Amino acid sequence: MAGSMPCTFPGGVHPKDCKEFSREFPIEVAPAPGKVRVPLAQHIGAPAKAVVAKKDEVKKGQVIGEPQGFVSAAIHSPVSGKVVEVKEHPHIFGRPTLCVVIENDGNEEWAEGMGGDPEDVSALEPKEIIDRVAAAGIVGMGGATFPTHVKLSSPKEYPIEIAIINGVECEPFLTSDHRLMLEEPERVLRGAEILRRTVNAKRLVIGIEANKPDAIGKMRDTAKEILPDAEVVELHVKYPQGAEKQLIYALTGREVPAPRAPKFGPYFPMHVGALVQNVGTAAAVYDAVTRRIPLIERIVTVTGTGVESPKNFRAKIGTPIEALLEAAKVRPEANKLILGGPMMGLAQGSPDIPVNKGMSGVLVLTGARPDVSRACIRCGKCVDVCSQAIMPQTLSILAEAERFDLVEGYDIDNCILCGSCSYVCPSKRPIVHLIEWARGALGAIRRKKAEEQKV
Amino acid sequence: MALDKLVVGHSPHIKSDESIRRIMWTVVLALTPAGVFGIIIFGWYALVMMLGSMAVCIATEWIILKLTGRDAGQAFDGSAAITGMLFAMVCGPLVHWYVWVVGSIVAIAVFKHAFGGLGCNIWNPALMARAFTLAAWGKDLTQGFVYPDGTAGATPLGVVKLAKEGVPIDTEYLGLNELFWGKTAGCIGETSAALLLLGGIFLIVLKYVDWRMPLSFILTCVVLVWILPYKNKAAQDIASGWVWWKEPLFAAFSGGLFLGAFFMATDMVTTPVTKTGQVIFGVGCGILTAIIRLYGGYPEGVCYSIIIMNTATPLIDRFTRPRKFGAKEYARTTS
Ligand code: SF4
Ligand code: SF4
Repeated sequence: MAGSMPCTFPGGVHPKDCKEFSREFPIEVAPAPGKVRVPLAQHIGAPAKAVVAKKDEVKKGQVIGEPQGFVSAAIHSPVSGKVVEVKEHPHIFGRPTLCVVIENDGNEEWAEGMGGDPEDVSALEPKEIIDRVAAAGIVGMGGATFPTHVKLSSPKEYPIEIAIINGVECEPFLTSDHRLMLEEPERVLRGAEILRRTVNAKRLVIGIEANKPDAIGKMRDTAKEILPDAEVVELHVKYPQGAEKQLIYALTGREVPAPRAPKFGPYFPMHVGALVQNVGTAAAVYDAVTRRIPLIERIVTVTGTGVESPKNFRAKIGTPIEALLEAAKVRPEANKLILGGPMMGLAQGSPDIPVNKGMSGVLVLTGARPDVSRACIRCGKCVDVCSQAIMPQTLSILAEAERFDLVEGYDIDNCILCGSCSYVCPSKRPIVHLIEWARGALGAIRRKKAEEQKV
Repeated sequence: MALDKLVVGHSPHIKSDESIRRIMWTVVLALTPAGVFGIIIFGWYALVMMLGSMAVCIATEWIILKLTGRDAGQAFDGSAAITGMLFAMVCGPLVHWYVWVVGSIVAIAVFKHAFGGLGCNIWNPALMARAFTLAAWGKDLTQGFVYPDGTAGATPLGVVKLAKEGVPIDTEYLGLNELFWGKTAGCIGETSAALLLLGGIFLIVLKYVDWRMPLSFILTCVVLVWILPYKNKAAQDIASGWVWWKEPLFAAFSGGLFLGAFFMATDMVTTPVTKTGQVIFGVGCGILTAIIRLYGGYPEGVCYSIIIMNTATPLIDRFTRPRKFGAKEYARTTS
């Protein structure tokens, strides 16, 4: 037995889950885009390098960007057609990113060896599985976009005991994982089993928040039939239950170590013998390993008070979100566009953005106003809710005072940017923003120090 | 398509509906029962004082915000109102009008805005204003007490202090019942332990106050008063009617302990942000209050003990940081 199962974590907040907007709508295939615009940087790590040029003919699933180094991911063409250009275009982080633009010929012609019937992979070596996952360019689809093959290749000294499949979906509004578990539980579970086997974990646990009873039931029933060993665990509804560290804690009672002096290097789930993968990633792994299908589409929830008919789309990577928004009918008074969930998503200044591998939702809100923040009244609420148990209040004040020399000692590296602190703050202080900013400044100071030491 | 005028900003994009305004006015609401009771037993002048102090505080804040080019609307966020109300409630019912007017101005102008305004002050402005007026017009604040029947009197702890000095005393308004319900002499808002408790519980239920703070304050003070030896034990015994179990209750219901514990030691700005810190703060206040009451020059010590602990707040915060998530070492059980 690998520790107790608290089914929740310390701290956290209870925003209204707002799932009712879109959870009843079955996944529908997004309208086929005439052109796709596929960014070469859709993951954590080095951007891929384009291996196609203008006027090249490409097939669906063909590699168009090759990974650069180990922590990187391959990029594939989501359509068959012709490359129109390889050029910089706006991307979610605000900076322009190199994109491959492909004109869709509508033939959906697969590249060779892809898209056949699922093969039996039960005898496949872990090494081969990891290779197939890497070849498919799979990254964490919950939003973190960390390359999956890297997570699967944990070193020998960190054996994995528990494979965790993340079906929590704690961000309000988003329902893409929910629909996936309801409609394709088999793909998720078979993918999960492949993941478990690859890392040779004893246990396979699927964590789902209690606000999705139908998904829990469906996953349990399906697991009974095809994967009796898998445990489907109902977790308390609380944000950020879906954050990796909080999920591991809820299911095992283990705490991924906080970054600590002198290196402040990050610690990963493997350090406590866990592997965490999102349900969408598990499903993608299934396709990649059994049918050699690369990651070229994903489920995107388009929802919020600003759309008339919220939807859960299966959309090709590179589809302009404008097309999705049109299909969901944006209300004229909508004035905020967020990619991802409301707690951690990125607000956009323009809808000229393509769907990418980590985009679980497009959220459109009405009545958004720029925040007016006031001085901290030291109410302590942010300290109470911080699930990483650091002091957001102090950090935000140190950041304002530009005391970057002190933020390290206040465990700024431990922050997971979940936003709970800003959410509860009665003064509406941009705490997360300040922390991120201070972190950037601290990073610069650290790099400078490291260079000086080298000299 | 719409979406041409998009609002951008940092995540999170949704916020709880908590606000400064809501918190502060809720505290004013929680103080109201005790305030109304003050009017009932001490008369209309108590109402004039409370509303007057609030008005003076708000006006002072408004002027300062205006002069410094900030949003003057913030004067109505309730924090100045709390200061005014609390200050009036810790004044005796007979103080002259200029005492509370000047006190209110000083509370906001000096003890709040000289430090940078909301959130930046080190000490509770209402208490500092009291300390200031006590220094300036001591007689007004220490002797101007009446019993509910209108005769001149002393506060319960004042009586005890007199008894210590050998003055014969009258115990009519010193029964535990009188103290609990508030039919005794004292500052406008401090007499009714029952109504202050009610307001305090209201704030605890709404999570604007953490129960640990008032509880640790009151318990520490009561227990210490009970067990610590002091010169003229007889004095306290007289007041509590010679019954051993009445003594701690007497200590709890007198001297504005409830007002301090529920409404002043819980002031967010001037007290620690961590839970452990709040307990330490409460215990510290309790110890100081007991010591001042038993051995000090003033009959009651709530005001000064909170001010002293306010000073220690940054230090307490510094040493009571929560145990960070991931600090626990995980012992790997390799199978
Ligand atoms: S400080 Fe970081 S980890 Fe803590 S609540 Fe804020 S964003 Fe989340
Ligand atoms: S929640 Fe906001 S006002 Fe309260 S302590 Fe934290 S930063 Fe200050």
